[in-house]
Parts: sequence; C-alpha cells; structure tokens
Amino acid sequence: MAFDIFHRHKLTISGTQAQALEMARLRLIWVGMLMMMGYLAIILRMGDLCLLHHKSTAMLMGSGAPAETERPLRASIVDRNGNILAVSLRMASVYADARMVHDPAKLAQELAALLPKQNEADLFKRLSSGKAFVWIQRFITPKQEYAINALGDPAIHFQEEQRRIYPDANLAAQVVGYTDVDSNGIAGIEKFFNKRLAAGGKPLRLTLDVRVQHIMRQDLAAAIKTFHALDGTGLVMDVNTGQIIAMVSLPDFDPNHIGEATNNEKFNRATLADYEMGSTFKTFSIAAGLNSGKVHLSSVFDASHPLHIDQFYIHDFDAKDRPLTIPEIYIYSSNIGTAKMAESLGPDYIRDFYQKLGFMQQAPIEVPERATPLYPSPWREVNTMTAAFGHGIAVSPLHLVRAASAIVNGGILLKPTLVMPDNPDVPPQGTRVISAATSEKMRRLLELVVASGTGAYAWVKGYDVGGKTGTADKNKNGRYENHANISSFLGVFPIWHPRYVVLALLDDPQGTKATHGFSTGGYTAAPVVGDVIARMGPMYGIKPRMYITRDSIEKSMKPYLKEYKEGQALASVSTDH
Amino acid sequence: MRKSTLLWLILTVFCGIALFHTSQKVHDERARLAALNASIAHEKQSIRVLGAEWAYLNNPRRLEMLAKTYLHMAPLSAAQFIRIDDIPLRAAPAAAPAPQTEKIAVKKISPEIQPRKIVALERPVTMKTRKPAPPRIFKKRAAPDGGTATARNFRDVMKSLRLGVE
Repeated sequence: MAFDIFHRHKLTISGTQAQALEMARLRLIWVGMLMMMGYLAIILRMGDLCLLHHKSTAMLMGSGAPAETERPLRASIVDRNGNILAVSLRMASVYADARMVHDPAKLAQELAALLPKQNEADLFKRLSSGKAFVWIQRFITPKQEYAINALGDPAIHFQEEQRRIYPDANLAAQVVGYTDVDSNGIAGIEKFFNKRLAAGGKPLRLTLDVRVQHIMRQDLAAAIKTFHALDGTGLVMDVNTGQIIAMVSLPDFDPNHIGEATNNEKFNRATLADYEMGSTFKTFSIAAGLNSGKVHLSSVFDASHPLHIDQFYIHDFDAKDRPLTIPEIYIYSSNIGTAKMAESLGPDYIRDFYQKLGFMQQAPIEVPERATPLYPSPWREVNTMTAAFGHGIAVSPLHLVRAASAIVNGGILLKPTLVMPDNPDVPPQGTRVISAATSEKMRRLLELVVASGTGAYAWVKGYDVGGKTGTADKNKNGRYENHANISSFLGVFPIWHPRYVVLALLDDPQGTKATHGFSTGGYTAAPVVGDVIARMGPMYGIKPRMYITRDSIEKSMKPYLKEYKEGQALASVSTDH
Repeated sequence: MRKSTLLWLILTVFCGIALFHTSQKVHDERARLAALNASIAHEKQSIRVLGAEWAYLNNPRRLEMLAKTYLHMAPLSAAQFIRIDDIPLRAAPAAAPAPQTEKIAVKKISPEIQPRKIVALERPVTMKTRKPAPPRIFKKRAAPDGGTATARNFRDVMKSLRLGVE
C-alpha cells in the first residue's frame, strides 16, 4: 500500500512537498487529457470514414480498381442511328529481342509456319540482326498468339495494341477517314477529331445514315458504270439543319487495307474537289434576281441572238430565238437569258450575292479536306455574265448543296455539319440570304424543271421532286473540252415543304443508246437522284402526295409559259446545258 | 489477478480475432473485386468485338443481298402509301338476319374477322381511280449453300443465315 502515493488520506505531507505533489498531479491530468483528445480525434475520423464517406474509402483502397495506365481505346465512330462505322479493338502484336535468339534459322521457320503473312528469309534477317527490338508481326489473332506463346522462346514478347476496324469497309471511306498503324487519325473525321477520339470515351455520332449512304453509293456506282464516267460524287443534306445524311465519293477504298488505296480513291470529291457546275448555278443567279426586286417571274429577257462580249460568245444549246420569261429561261436553261438578267442587276450584284452564299471561301465542315473555291479576280463584267450560268467559278459539291439548301428552306444559309449536335432541340443558327417569298418562287421554278423540263428523269410520283440539271464543259488546262462534261443534278424533295437536297455529279459520262448518245445531267445524273429519293422517301416516312401531276404543276405556271399546251411536256431532257 | 484484468484480457483477444477476421475478409473481397474488374474489362472487350461483328453483319449491302435471296419483300414505294380515307369500309352486316343477305356476307368476309366488326384493313384494297404500282419483286436466288432456298418462316431463314455466315 505504500506505493499508492496519490492516496491523500494516507499521507500527511504538508508545506512545499504537498505543493510539489499537487503540481505533479495536475501535470499528469493535462497529459492524460491531451492523450484522450488524440484518441478521440482518431475515433471520430474512423467513424467519419466508415459511416459517412464510403466512396472515398473505396478510392483509398486503390489496388482493386481497373488498371488505367494503358492508353484508352480510341472512341468509336457511329452513324446517326448508332451503327458502328469505326471501332478500336485490342489485339496482340509480337516482337523479339534479337540479342536473345539462339537459333534464328529454326525460330524463323517456326514463326513463318504460324504467320502466313511473313516470309521466312525476311524473318531470319530480322531475328539475326542482333537488335534489342524487332517487330515480327503487328496485330495477330488470339489463335496465333497462343501458338507462338507455346513455342516458349524467351526472345519472343507480346505487346497489346489497339487496332482500328471499319466494319462497313468502303461505305463512307473518305468521310470517316482512317488512322495510321499507331491509331492516329490522318484523314477525314478521324483526323479532324483525333484528340477527342484518342481520349476514348463516348462514341462520336455522325449525321450520316448508313442506309442512305448505301443507296447513294449503289446508285452512283451503277450510273458511273452505265455511262463509263471517270468518277462521281453524291450528297444528301437536310435543308433545315445543315446535317449531311450521305456523302459519297467514287472511286473509294477499303480503310481496313489502307496500304492498297490509291490517291485517286482517297480523294474526297464531295468536299475537296472544285467543279465548274454549269446550269445548276442558274438557280442562284435567278434567286439573286428575284430577291433584288428588279426581276420578277414575268420579266422578259431577249434570247434571240448570241451574246458577244470581249472575245467570248454566249449562246444557247437549244436556242428558242425569242424573248423568254424567267421560268422559261430556267426550264430551257438559257445561257443568254441568264447572262442578260445578271447584267441587268448591276456589275457587283451577282458577285456579292455569291459571296453571301459562301462561294468565295471554304465551306465549314468537320473534315480537314476542304476545297477553296476558284473565282476570277479581278471580277469583270464578263465574269458576272458567265458566273450567272456557272462558268468561270468553281466550287465544291458541298458548297452547292449548302447554297441550294438556303434557296429552298426559306432563305437561311446554314453551316453544314457531319456531327450530331448534343442538343437536337436547339434550332441551328444561320444567316438570311434571300427572303421567304423568293424561296417560295424558287421552289416553284425547281418543281417546274422536273415536272416538264430538263429534270424529267428525276420525277418521282408522289414526292414532287424539284431540281436543276447541270452540264458543264470540262475545263482542262484553261481550255474547255467540248466532248467532256461534268454532268450533275441538284434535287430537292418534297418541294412543297423541302426536307432534303440530293446532289449527284458525274465526271465525263459517255452517252449510251438509251440516252440517244447524250451525256447531259438530265440523262445521267437525274435518274440517280430520282432513285435515291424514291428509296429514301418511304424509309424516312415522308407521306407522298399522289394527286400531284406534271400537268397540274405546269398549269400553275401557265401565265409565264408561252409554249404551254395541256398534256404536253415543254422541253426535252436532251436540250439541257 | 483481478476480475477486471481478466475481462480486459478476454476483450483484447476478442478484438484481435475480430480484427484478423475483418482483415482477411477485406483481403478476399479485394481479390474478388480485382477478378470482377478483370472480367468486366474482358466483357467490355467482348462487347466491342461483338459490336464490330454486328456492324459487319448488318452492312446494308449484305442485308440487301440476304433480303433479296431469302425474303419475299421489296423496298417500299411511294405508291404503297394510301390515305385512311382511300380505304373502302366494309359493308355493314345486314341488321335483319334475312337469309339471302346472310349468305352473301359469309361469302365475302372470312368468319374469324366478321364478329369483330372492325375496319377491314386486311382486305385487299381497291382504289377508286388509279391502280397502285406493283411492288418491285426480286427473283428468288439460289442460297449460298447451293440449295434452292424457299425459306418462308423466320426459323428457316435464321437457320440458313447461320450457314451463310463466314
């Protein structure tokens, strides 16, 4: 009991000794309290971690979480309905440390037996090179990986790599683009969105529809074959949103075997090629005239004589030799009439209008392959007249469908896009280029061309297609060739409330017996557009209007048509230029 | 030894056992988590592979070829759309059960549909003024396996598809 020094009652200490003991006691209490507080803090923190912060504890554990050190798989590219256009998969690649190889000849023989793509002599060369790292083959199948692993050679190693697969092969080859062997995008969407795709994550959703893309590609390929054309391109654009539904350029290639593709096949004609479009441009010059207020549907321009300016002659291919109204100029595709109308607007009006339509700069689109238009500088009077019927100015097919969308959608020029917007409810922003009233008049003119003019082969019963043919002489080294054409057809449907612009363009088509030897846009490109619309309309659930007939359309324009006779077509397809 | 010491000793041993048990459990769970994460990664990779294969098999060109070969169907044409007003209504069955009209009604209308008294959508449509254009009909082609495929029901189609793949 003597040890119990703190038991007050058993001790009779007083004075300085008692004071010292009291102090020691106090100090012990302080130390004890400090310790208690420390423990309390630990207890509280543990309660906090266990009961309140489950998630942070899970993160602290760390080791069980998936390994994120590898490069993420490149994000997929899908079409507007979620069909995969490009996807990355993990595949094994096999390499060797040539310093560790004991018997290169034997190993080369064994590997060559397992890898049919490899040549034994070549493998031997690499395996006996003495280098620390030589590729044997990149992207092998799991079966091959298993078999090579079973060889048990210590010099052989595997590396997991990602490989880009394009399940639809050629379907949208130039638009989607392709990557190099290290999965870096080097063309098309793959290049434009390389950073976003390389970071992995959600698939990139394009506005393309593989079904429409397929239809356009099939019809265009058939037309190229029938008319022995060099190449061709086709576009379908939603006129109200600027979304590209289909973009085809032929010939094309299989991006899964990019090494075999030629530059001609890789060339995206829809966005990167400049063409003198010819008569389809009359759509824009006449829209400019109607929008200026100086020209009306009933305005008459004398097309009786060819025009002669400087050293140029402007003449019509199916000369009517009489004054023509605006609808007549348009459906007979009169160069003289269009040139005179353009002249009447003043020297800079057409140029400024084309500038507003975006014909003087690159069209904004999400691929790096964009064409810069070619136009005369300085712009002289003769340029106004030729540009009015689509000569002396060259733009890409994308420029053409973009501007045509603005002409028919009520007058708003939109930014063409290949990527689905995050929020589809936000209406796209655009700039007004013509009034709604002018747009309405242009739709009636476009309708008339297909109902009874040069675009007759694009007629689709029920869908009331509007459109304009174009046949331009091909310009080779500054000289126009008489027998080589760029034939195109620019279609719009349904014309009573336009939703889509469809363009087909063929380079140097040859006439056939069925077309009486003609290779004009009305004979070669218009049937492509007609067929695309006939197949696409029901697919998109667009209700046809079966009661609309060609004659009813002509009748509605009767006051402007001198040659109108009931039940008789106004112009033949062959006369187009 | 005091009673309290014994109590503390028991408590300490108990805590020790509980702690060991918990730490073992955490260890096991961690291993399970790692395994699950690995299998999730594997499944994700499989999904990607299957997605790529699905896209490949659903290539529009291939689907079109298969549809032409095996199905008695063709793309829809605009002429196949009709307005609801253009569909002629079935003549109302006679109110009085007169034996003569009864006979005619039975002849024209199939017995299963008659009692329901609905608009006769199933009946072939006859338009008043114009004939609908006949749908495009594709020729039947021989199946890739050499047989003459006239598969009409879904199961047969699926069976023959499985043969056609690869």
